[in-house]
Amino acid sequence: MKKRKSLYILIVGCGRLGSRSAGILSNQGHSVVVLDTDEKHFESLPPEFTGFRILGDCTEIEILKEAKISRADMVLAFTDDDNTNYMVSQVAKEVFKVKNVIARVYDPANLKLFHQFNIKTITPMLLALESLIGTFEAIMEEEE
Amino acid sequence: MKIVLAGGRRITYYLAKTLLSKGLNVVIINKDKEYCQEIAGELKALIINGDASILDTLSKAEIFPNDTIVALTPKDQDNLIISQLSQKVLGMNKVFTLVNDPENVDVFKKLGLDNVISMTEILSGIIEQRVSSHQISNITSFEEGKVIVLQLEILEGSPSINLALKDLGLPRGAIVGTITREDKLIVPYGDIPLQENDRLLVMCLPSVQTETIRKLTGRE
Repeated sequence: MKKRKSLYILIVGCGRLGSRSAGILSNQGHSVVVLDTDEKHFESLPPEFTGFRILGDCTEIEILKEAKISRADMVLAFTDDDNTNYMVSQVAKEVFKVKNVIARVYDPANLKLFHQFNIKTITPMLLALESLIGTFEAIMEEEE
Repeated sequence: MKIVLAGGRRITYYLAKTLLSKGLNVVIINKDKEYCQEIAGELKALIINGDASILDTLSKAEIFPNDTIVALTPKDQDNLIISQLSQKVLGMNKVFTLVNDPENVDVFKKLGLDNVISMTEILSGIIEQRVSSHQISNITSFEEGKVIVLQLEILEGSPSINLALKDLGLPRGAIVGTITREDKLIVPYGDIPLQENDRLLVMCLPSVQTETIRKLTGRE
């Protein structure tokens, strides 16, 4: 198997999704930095996580610079606020020219705007629906 | 034509009051139901209770491209999305965006917004001018800082009093546009002598700003 290169990944928002992703990506050999406004959130980082943590507000450009965002190969905008994720992803993409930006978006109504800026999105509600439909189909097949 | 004020509390209230007194049509959008009820009794504006960063809410304001929107929430990220929804989706061309972090002025401009306002920047600009010299009352730059317009007053003891403009030795790149003398406005020729209490409007290049001020006021 081809050895994959190690990426510099900045994760903004260290909640459940952010901290778990940080552990998995760290474990895969990438250098991961997590950024959050609340120090307590860092407690949920799993032991596999070997990267740096930065305490600060991601809507301040200073903080993003401190996190060396311009060197990031990938930015994951995983805070619990759609508007914050929107700003961070757009700033990452347009100002700091980060190649890959993925944002969590709760409200599907906002998806269009994200896609206009070529930001990849994850919408939990749509994933849940997809999974529900899959499970539903499987049950229906068993019933028949 | 209407002006939509999105978010914000006191500043929105007073802004709405001022705009209404000028006969403009004002729409206020705010998430806080209590706030909406409070101001509904006091302002003759259409008040919509809802989140302006959601397109559905903005649509309730029945906005047309020629209308104006001002994003006034306390969060820069909310103001960004409100402004971009208005500009990109609703096609509005008069969009004003308030930012808290002065660094976001440049950032938001890079993201395609034209009218980005930082209260901090405006206030600190005014304070700096007043603190550094009370003779100079206003400095504004135009054309992305390539030209400066400043307003200054000739006080008692200034070296330029009784000298004609052409004899002041003003650097190239500086021009005195107008002199206000006892409420009369003069567009000066080079042979007009300056007097105490003249107020001058000067246009100059940033490179000769210091020299220009020194020649006129005697101050560094």
